[in-house]
Amino acid sequence: MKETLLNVKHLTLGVTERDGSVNKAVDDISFEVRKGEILGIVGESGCGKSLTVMTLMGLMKDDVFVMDGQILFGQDDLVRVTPERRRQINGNDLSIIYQEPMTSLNPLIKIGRQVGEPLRLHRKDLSEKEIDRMVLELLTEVGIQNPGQIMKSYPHQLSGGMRQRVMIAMASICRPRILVADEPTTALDVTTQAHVLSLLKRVNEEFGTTILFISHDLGVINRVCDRVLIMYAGKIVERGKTRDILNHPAHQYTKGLIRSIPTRDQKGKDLICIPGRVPSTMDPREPCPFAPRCGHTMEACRQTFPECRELSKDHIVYCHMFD
Amino acid sequence: MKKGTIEFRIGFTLTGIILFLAILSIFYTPYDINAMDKTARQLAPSLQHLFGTDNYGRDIFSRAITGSRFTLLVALSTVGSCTVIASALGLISGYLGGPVDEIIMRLIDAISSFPDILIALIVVTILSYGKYTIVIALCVTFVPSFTRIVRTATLQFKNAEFVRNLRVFGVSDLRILLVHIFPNTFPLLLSTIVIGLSNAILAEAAMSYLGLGIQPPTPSWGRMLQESQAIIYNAPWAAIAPGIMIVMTIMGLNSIGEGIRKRYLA
Amino acid sequence: MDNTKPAGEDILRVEHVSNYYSDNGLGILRSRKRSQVLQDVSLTIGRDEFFGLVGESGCGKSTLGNAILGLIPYEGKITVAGLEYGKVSRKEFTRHIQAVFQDPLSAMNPRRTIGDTMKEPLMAHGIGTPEEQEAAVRAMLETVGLDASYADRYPRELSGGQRQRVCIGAALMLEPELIIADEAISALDVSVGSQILNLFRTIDVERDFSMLFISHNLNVVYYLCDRIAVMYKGSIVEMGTADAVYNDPMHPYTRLLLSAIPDYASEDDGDRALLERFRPPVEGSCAFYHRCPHATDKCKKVPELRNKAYRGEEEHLVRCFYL
Repeated sequence: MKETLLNVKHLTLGVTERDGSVNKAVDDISFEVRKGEILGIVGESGCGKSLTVMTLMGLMKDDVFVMDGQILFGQDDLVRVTPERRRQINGNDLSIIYQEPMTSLNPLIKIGRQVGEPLRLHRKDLSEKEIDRMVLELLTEVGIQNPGQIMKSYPHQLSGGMRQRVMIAMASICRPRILVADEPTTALDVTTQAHVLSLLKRVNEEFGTTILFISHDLGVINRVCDRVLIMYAGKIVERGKTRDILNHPAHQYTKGLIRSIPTRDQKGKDLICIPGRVPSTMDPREPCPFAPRCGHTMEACRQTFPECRELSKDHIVYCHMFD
Repeated sequence: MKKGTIEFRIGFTLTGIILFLAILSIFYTPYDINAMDKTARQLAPSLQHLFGTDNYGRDIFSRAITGSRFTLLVALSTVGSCTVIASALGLISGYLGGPVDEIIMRLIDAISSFPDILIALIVVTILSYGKYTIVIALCVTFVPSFTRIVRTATLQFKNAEFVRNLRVFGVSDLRILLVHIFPNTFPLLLSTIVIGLSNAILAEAAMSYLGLGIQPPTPSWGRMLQESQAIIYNAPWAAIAPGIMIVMTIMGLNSIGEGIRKRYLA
Repeated sequence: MDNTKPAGEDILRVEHVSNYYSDNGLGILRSRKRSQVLQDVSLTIGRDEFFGLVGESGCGKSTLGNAILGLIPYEGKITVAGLEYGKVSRKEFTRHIQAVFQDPLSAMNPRRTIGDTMKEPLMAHGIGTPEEQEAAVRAMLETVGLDASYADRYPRELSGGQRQRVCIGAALMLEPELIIADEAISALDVSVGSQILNLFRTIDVERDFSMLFISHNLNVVYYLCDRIAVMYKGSIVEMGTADAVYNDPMHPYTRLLLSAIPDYASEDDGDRALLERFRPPVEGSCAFYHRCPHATDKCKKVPELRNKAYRGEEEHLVRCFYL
């Protein structure tokens, strides 16, 4: 059993709506991130995956707050960490890359300087020359052909794929224990995406960086993730090894997601869709939020949220059908 | 609480008070505004004279609230006519672009390169003194900034996706401009109008102070400020009274404008 | 509507369309370059046919869509339902061709109700009395799977999927022969996107219309469309039946695209060697020369589109010297 790096315990996040009321955006979720793995979080809009990782990083927007729970990372509880400690952790032990690299990079500062910034902050022992050398090395390692020239360029001069590589370099330069990737390839072309995914796998294999990978795309998840957790409307509904889940999905939502993707042999036939739509935080919810769309709802689903059921080693599901 | 609520409350309270007094002055003033009383000159505020009396023994409170009526009328007329003209110019200029846009904008630039006082002087010289003269003068000075704002908003919406969709539907340009783009500029326009009102009040006060605006014996805040200048050490309340009313109105209007910005534009 | 056209007549004919845009640069310092976005593109779409246009960012697929809709200037000839753009009034032209775009929220005037927006096309062409227009709107809402009461709601009150249904309904109000769908499901959740795909298929059974489905997702395009064209850097590199292009791809770029798509059902974890090889670009060469694993000296000229199908089979055009 691999060592646990991050332990999320009963995390509940509240969001303040426009009219002042408070609703739960993430409801009592718990999961572990194991050292050296790539853990995927899959869900559609409104499931809370982005909010969860933003809370991990301490980057929530003003209207989001932690109602309950802990996020244990080493000696710290990331929910209760002081701003000073947070500054020591972010960029250093914990880093993040986003979907839109253009807005994550400062358009007015050269690439070389930006990529070196985390080093300047966290490794005061290094000289400027050493930092530049490390930046050059890292840019080469992430697959940039002409790193010297790129270091002197500005973000707008780079393509989307290059910017994402730069982001990955910047997020990796302090050799963080965990790298969070929030939909890192969603805005990229398919061919560029393939390169970036390979790069992330290499970062994981060669640097040993644990990666938390958020996506809505099951194909991408299959390509990079060892384990995956499926979220729906603020709750985790299934969790396990990627191949297990994709081959033997247990939760009705997981099944529905898989069926929504057209495969080769489905040409000419209607796709089996999940009826209805994802509830917003303001909609009233059943204890199991998927009940209205499930198709196999039982009495129990309207009374309590299901307990965790272990289907096999490392494959769990939260569904009353398995009681 | 919704965004901007505090601002709206403050703003409407302040402007409400002024508005109430202005309307009240149509029907009732404690004293006749022109009644001079040699025995009651430069009296400090008291129960008989809420804001005291001026150099001629006239009740300042009565004059102040009557003055507010004129000042507000001038401000409303100015902003009203300016909005109509500027909206037309801004919409046409923004939507058509090209040479039409260039011509209109250069005209606007020309006007705004003149100092406001100079424009007022020119208009007053041509048209001679009168209530409407000041409105026309102020309107001319306000049109450039209003037009630019409407034009920018038009440009912004001209390239909006829903406008593209309307073109795909086959909707005529005129309809797009009037029914779809123009109403979308309302929040911005409203905010601009409110701020414009407060600027117009200040401008009117300045013009009247300089003698270019409303003529005596009609009271207006600007005039009253000018009249109180000579006696300011003996009877400071003569300046403070209209001053407070100006401040209240400006703060009230600006608060409303800020509330609009927070609730509808942010 | 006039339905007397013989079956098989082309609904859309694009002939040698090119599009340039001027790169104005920074004031007087930069020279005015003319960049070519569309390079001599030609294609036809038949009656009741779904045609997929696939490519990555910068390939010109959206530009072609905009040109067909008459939203941007171009060189060449475009004919819709027998009417040549430029020879008839724009209004007449718009009766036969409508569109659904990627972002359903910004596609509608936020200050107008759903019903008002859907009436605009009818009003623009003077169709029906106000009562008839209301009735038509209600009927169309039901057709796209929404309750007729939605006509009085505002766009912000609807979910993404519902808004897109409205946009599809609005596009159908004039009963056009051709609908352009430009990344119509790309901004939607997977489960909602599948609902929209089913909606297209359902409406297609009930009504006679053709669709140009523009997307970067080759899987979805294969699923939905009868024929596919693959675009790269402004020109069509491969075009044929969906089956031919997807299952028997000939152009190296098409093969690259297919290999790059991450497949959720694939078991192999392998880093499939991407089918590309980089080399310095050459002016005037095949657009794919700088990435092609098979490029030779022959490829330093721009290839023509040639039919590589077997005799008796449907046309399968490929723009490549290698084959």
